Amino acid sequence: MESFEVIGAFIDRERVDPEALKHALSTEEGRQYLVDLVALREIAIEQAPPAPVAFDRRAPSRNRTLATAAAFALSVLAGYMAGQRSPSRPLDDRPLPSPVVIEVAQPEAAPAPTQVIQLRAGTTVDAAGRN
Amino acid sequence: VADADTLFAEYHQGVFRYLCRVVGEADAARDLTQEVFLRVSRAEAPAASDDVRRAWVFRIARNLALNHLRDQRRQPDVAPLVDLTQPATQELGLALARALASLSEMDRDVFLLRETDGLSYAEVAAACDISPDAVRSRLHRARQQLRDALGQTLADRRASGIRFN
Repeated sequence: MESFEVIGAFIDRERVDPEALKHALSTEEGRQYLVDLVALREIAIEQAPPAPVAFDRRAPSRNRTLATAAAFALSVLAGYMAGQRSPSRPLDDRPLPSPVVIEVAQPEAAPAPTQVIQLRAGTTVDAAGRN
Repeated sequence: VADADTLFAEYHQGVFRYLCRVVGEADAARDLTQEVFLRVSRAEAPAASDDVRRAWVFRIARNLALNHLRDQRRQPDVAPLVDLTQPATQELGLALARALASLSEMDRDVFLLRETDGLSYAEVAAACDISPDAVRSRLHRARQQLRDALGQTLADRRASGIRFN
């Protein structure tokens, strides 16, 4: 079967020994092998999905997306670690905030009455305080 | 020296086709295709023949694909990399993906680079860092295994006629 390498090389457009090719193709098995190689090539180059139509130097590739995500995760982790390492005092040691004093002015004394209305039962008084 | 845009125009279809077959997902293959040409744009393309440049681009693609597969820690066992509205085509794609998954990593890549992208043995050798003789023997082995694995699929194809590509 190794002699059939020459058949493959021939259909691959490589330079081959014509005598070896003739010998390989002189057998039914060799001719069948040639037909199968042609069929196999057809199958191998069957229609593929559409390729990228343009070269985008800035297109986000999967690797760069992963690299960006990794950099972000690293920066978050670094921030967290820095926060963990910075000295922090217990809650009880923290200074209390300065008290806020609100001064409430004392109310002034009520003015002296200008008129005293005395109310008696059964007496009607008008708006001016007259009976 | 060709710039990245020129290399993209020339090779992106082939790179995408190869990556589709290897990683088994069209979306991942599109991302990886962009990544391949980003790397191409940041590197200095070999100031040599087109063949050398093509092998260089596919070498980058292969390395990215292998890294992707290692990251995913899984085999590309299912790959409906075809028009999902055509069940027959989908079935064919799945059969090929399963058969490819049974190959060794290197045999699979040698086969795909040769068959789906038409690289010469010398280009495949450069892309995979092996000798042209190793390409020839690996290709033969891969074809034998695929022929066995795709027996009925090949029979169906033969029945409907074949065309040399």
